[in-house]
Amino acid sequence: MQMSSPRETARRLARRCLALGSLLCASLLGTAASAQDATSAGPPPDESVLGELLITGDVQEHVTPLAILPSLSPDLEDVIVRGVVRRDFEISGMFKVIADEKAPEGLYGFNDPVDVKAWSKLGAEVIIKVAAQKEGADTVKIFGLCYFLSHGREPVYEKTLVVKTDQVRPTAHRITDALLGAITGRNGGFSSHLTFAAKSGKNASIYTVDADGFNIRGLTVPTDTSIAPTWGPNGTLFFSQSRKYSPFKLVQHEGPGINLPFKTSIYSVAFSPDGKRLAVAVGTPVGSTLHVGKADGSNMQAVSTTDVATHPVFSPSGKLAWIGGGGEKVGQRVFVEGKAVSPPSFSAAAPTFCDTEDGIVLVYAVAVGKGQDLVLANETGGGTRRLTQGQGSNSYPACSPDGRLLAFFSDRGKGEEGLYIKSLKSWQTQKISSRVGESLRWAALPDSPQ
Amino acid sequence: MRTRAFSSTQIGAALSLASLVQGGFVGLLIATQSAKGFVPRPEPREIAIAVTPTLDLPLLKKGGKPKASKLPDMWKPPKPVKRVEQPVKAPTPLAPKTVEAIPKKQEEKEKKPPKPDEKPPPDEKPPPPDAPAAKSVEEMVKQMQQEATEEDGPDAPEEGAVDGAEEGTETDPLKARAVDLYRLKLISWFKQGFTAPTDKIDCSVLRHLKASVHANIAPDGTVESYDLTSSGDPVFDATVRQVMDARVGQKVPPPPPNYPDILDRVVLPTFQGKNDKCK
Repeated sequence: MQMSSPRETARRLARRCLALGSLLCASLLGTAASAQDATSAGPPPDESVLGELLITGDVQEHVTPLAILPSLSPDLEDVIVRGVVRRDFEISGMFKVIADEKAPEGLYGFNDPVDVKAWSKLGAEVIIKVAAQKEGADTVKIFGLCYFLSHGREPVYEKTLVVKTDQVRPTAHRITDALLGAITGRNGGFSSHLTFAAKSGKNASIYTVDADGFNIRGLTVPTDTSIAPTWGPNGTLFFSQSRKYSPFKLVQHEGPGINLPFKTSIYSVAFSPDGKRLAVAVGTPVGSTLHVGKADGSNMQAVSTTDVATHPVFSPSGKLAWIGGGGEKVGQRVFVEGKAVSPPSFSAAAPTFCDTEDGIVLVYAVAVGKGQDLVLANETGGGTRRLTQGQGSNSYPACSPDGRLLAFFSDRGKGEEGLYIKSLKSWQTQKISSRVGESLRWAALPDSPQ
Repeated sequence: MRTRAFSSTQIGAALSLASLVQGGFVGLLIATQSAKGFVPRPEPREIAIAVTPTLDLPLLKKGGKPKASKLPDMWKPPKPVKRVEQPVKAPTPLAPKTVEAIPKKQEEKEKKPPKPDEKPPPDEKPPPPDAPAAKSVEEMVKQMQQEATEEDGPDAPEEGAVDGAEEGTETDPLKARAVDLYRLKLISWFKQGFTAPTDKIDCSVLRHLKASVHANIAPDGTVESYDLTSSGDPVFDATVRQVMDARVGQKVPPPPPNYPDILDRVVLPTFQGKNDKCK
């Protein structure tokens, strides 16, 4: 057995200390908002600078009554498709979905005509008909039809897809997206998936989940520490991973990864919408620096000047935002294109951009009291408005590909922790999963038309 | 000294009782032996008696020739009753959605067109118009036509929607709806921050005021400039100008991605003094 010299032992110890230090730093950066000194002395900051609370249920906004035709088919595929589409329309918060119990009596076979008069009496303006039929041994034909009752008995839109049996659920989401596009002129964003990091045992692991909270699954082993996941081009998934206290490295799930010219830890990463640019937060002795370069990891240039810079995110128009700060005394703020835009008295975290029907908006979390609240601003940070107030702690916002929905983790102030979705149209909030985590990101599926 | 378990009287009584019982048995046995022997019952013997039958039912009359014996007919199942069915076929979901694919009724197929010189049979003559049955049929046809007209809309054009406008040109209902929604969005966007000056102008005047704006929009959606057509009231005009000045440089909400062409380079919002307080 070979005995190690005292010098080697000291060097090993130093490496361990460095690795532990980087882990500690990652933990601090990963929960940037928690860096806010909530218990610091002095009066609490003036929350009025966060803007007024958006009033829900604006009477001027017309909410379209919509009916999804019942189906009496016992086929599993038909039941799944109809259930998925109905749930998607309910989550969207854009429509007053008429309850199944109110459906008028009549025939609801696929070829039976729509009873326009009966549905009109119920107040429906739009009728959705979805169905699925087995085509072969392992293929299913999925239909989606849309009727405007003002236009008569003929459908104004029809979409048919033939897919493999195991693709029924994602295809049902695609049907929803297409139907939303027909009704509003803007396709839906349900054909998508979310990713986040959450504790699995002692360490954090990476999880993915469908847009409706279904099919949650862990992707990494609990022996590794995996943080800050993000979606890359063509549905690829990247995250930072540390094995046995080693520095965090950028890892691609089931892929070759990207060669980066950095030897220190990589704390977070983001790709531009066109997939051509890459932003990474690289560890430094005092914190981290943000570098931007080509998507292949070449030509990386430092863009941040603060001690800490992390959680980069690109807007749909290509603007880069991140969290920057100078430690606890200065606090952490949202920077857009190098300019601090969030209120200086509130520690900010987890910025994200939403490509909404009203234009691009910036959403981020701010530390308020013992928890966090979500704040909405325009793309350059002006016009701050508050999205949550007095509803527990709300953190890590992520926007749907169509910009209509905002996902975030919350406890709603009642201990009902989970993943929630808020409609940016009607402000309705619904819980879709009981899992909580951090670093939430949302992206369209690679084959989706978004 | 030990005392005796039984007294002499008790022993004597017990001996007397036992002697009496045993003596009774001996007496019965002697009485049986002294009685006469058992006489068996005599065997039954056949005795002839006269019987005259009496019946309540008439008997079969005798006479005629004897008939050859015949087995009964084999059982046959009854013939099924033919039901009257309508020759209607259930539509299949796989059928193509074309007019040609619609199956014709059996009656139409079998019915031959009448020859020109062929007279209808006497029983197929049409009833006179004033017959009650004909009247009810006419009324029913009229009602059906009326219902069909109501469903299709009065004087509905070949293309378009029932709720469309006379001057409308868009025949795509999806695009028409998208335009309607976007128009509402633009109105809401321009309306932000506009409050009719009810404290400065009398309601009787205010409710008739209208200021039209000609806003020029850049290709990226930014409001570049605007021209205002005066309402005639300088205070009202100033309020509108204040709102529009704030809008210049901002981007209007983007049009729906599926119809990016519906945003014109010019938008014409009109600000009205009429509001909830001054109707």
